[in-house]
Amino acid sequence: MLILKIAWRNLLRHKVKSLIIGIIIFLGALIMTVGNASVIGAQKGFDENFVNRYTGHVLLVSKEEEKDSVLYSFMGESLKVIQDYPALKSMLEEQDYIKDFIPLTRGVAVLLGLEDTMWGIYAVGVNFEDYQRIFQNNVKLVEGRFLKNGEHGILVSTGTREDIYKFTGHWVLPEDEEITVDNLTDEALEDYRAGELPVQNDLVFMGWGGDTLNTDIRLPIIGVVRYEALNQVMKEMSFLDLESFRECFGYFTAESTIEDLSEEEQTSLEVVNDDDIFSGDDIFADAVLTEESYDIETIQEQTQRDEGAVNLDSGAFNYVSVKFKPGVSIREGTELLNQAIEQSGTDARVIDWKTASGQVAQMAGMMQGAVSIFVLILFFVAVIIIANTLSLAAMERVEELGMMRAIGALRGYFISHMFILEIFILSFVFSTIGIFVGMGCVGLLQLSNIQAGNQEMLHILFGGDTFKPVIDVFGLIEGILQLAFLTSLAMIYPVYVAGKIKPLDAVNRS
Amino acid sequence: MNVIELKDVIKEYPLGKTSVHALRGVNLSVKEGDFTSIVGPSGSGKTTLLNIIGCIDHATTGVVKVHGKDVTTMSDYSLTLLRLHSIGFIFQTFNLIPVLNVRENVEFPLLLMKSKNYTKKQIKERAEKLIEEVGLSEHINHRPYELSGGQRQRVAIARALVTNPDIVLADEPTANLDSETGERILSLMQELNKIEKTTFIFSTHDPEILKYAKSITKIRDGKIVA
Ligand SMILES: Nc1ncnc2c1ncn2[C@@H]1O[C@H](COP(=O)(O)OP(=O)(O)OP(=O)(O)O)[C@@H](O)[C@H]1O
Ligand SMILES: [Mg+2]
Repeated sequence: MLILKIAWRNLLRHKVKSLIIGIIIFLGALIMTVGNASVIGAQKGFDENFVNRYTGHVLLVSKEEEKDSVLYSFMGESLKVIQDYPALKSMLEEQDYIKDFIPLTRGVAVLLGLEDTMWGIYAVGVNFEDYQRIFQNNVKLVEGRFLKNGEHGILVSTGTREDIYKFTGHWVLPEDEEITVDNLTDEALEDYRAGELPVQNDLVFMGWGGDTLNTDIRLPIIGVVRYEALNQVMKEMSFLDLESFRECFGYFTAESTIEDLSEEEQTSLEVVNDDDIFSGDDIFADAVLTEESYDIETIQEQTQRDEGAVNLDSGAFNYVSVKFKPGVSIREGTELLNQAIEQSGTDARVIDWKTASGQVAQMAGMMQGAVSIFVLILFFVAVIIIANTLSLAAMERVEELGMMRAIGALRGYFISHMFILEIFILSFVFSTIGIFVGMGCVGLLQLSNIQAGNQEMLHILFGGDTFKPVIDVFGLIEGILQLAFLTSLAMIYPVYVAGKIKPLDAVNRS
Repeated sequence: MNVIELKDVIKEYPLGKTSVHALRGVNLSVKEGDFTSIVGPSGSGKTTLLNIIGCIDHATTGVVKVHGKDVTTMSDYSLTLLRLHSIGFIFQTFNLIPVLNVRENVEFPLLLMKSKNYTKKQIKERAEKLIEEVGLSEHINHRPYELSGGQRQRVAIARALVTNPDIVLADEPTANLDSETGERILSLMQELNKIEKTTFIFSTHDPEILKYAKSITKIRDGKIVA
């Protein structure tokens, strides 16, 4: 009680010093609260956006596939094809912890025919309507319209469109659309005003892959799209319809497999329109390629076919995105899936979304880590300032503290405790204020709805398009522990200085 | 019985490559209930001697006994407790705790005495009694900065006596006071010496003050001369 009284009154007596240290602690607590909330919010946002709108919780790839970061691979290497997707599909349908899943192909398609440049775009082949349903309509239309199931064509992302313009000078435009001036980049606008902006309504691609013989294929541009969440991360990704993707990558198509099936098997397919079956193809049933290259007429013919004419499931897929039901953790889901894969003997290997996204998810972690390190550096600066100020305070009170020692105060007990208490009171009071003000700031930040705009780094830092810091219990506890730790750090030196004060110091000064 | 005994005490302060010989073989004994004054010119070693007696400084060599116990080998912890329980200090510069008022300053050493288990009431009564004895009852709730030099020194005396120490040490307790106040302080100490039977050792170089002393120890160049 005596120590508390003295400590408290000392703080009041040295108001300026207390206030300086207090403000530093207050700012520390404030920055920490807002910082933690930002990092947690960004992480949450990033994870949610990534999982819900891009990857699902886990990805299934072929057992033959050796890469783990299957979503982004260096030099755009293609992925192995899953053997017997229909078997995998029926297995997945039986798993009651799975909410939804969707098979996809992905790879880098090389753009041909525009100038002399060879330029690859990151392409996903998927049943687009299913994709939108599963990934929360993350794809937004900028121009044109979306791909319908069974239709052939490409949805070019805004990022891809800008890249194509940068490298070829051509402005990608959906068929039957006029140029929307607002969507032009600054340079494209200049070209447009000068009347020198060539428009491109279709694109010729060839799949880029290691061991496959690929076909070039001309596709009409159906629409230009952007992504609602994490557009800056995903903006290079364009969509091809499944069959076109397969053709251009030399994968076996659903249509081609029909050729190979026996009569009964054919009838088991939902809809088969015999007229649409590609005739005369040389099919390597278990291999992943067709050797043919198609002339443009054939391709155009294809694009005019009826929709939904074939069962697309029978063709090639590179991976399957799986979403678990709420409450199923990634670890649980992975374990259950692994069991099911083993029992059914299907060709699948489970990769969690973080591993699968490789550098991109890591980059977000790194950015957020950099923020944490920045906060940490600020804190150590604060610790040094506090420690220094308090040590000076101790030295200014040498005579008083020496007198206390001389008349019988124990160094270890009284003097240290008094100092620790002084710092503790300061830290407690100002941290509490700092944390509450910090929470208020977080609330304001949430309300003010800060947008990342075109800053790619901000998108990754924010974990989405908007800055959404999140206060959660763990973040607060973490913050309090960090503050306690830093206060303790700041205490060490001043307490040491105070402890070194000798009884003799009571008289030596006089 | 001697409360203080010093034998061949030498104190050297290192000063660069050489050393200052503050005490050069001091032999001294002080009887219980004495009221003794240490006199000598400036730099003769009075402060050094008092600090060593009060166990806030160590002798370089020699034996220092307080209450018959050799203090030269004691730990910092034991010395602290010895100072707390047996020795009272009155400093030349008063040296009070600025954030505590008169009562709290006087209570301070009692509150440090965990082992004695004084009740709050006992502490209060004891402090009040001493504050009354030094004539400061009216100022009991004042902080040090609200007091004059003489009043502060009286608080220091009350604080030194509140624990009922065997020995009270005062290094030039009147040096910062005008002569009238100084004499009042000395007569107060003299009175308390009579009432409480406490041993007082004080240093001074003011001859006016010497008349209060029962005995005088003269020191010159670090040696006792008479
Ligand atoms: N901490 C120290 N370091 C070095 N020398 C010291 C120290 N303290 C005292 N001395 C020296 O020891 C000698 C005795 O000093 P001391 O303070 O005991 O004298 P004093 O009799 O109290 O003098 P004064 O009447 O001026 O207070 C002096 O020569 C002084 O310079
Ligand atoms: Mg002196």
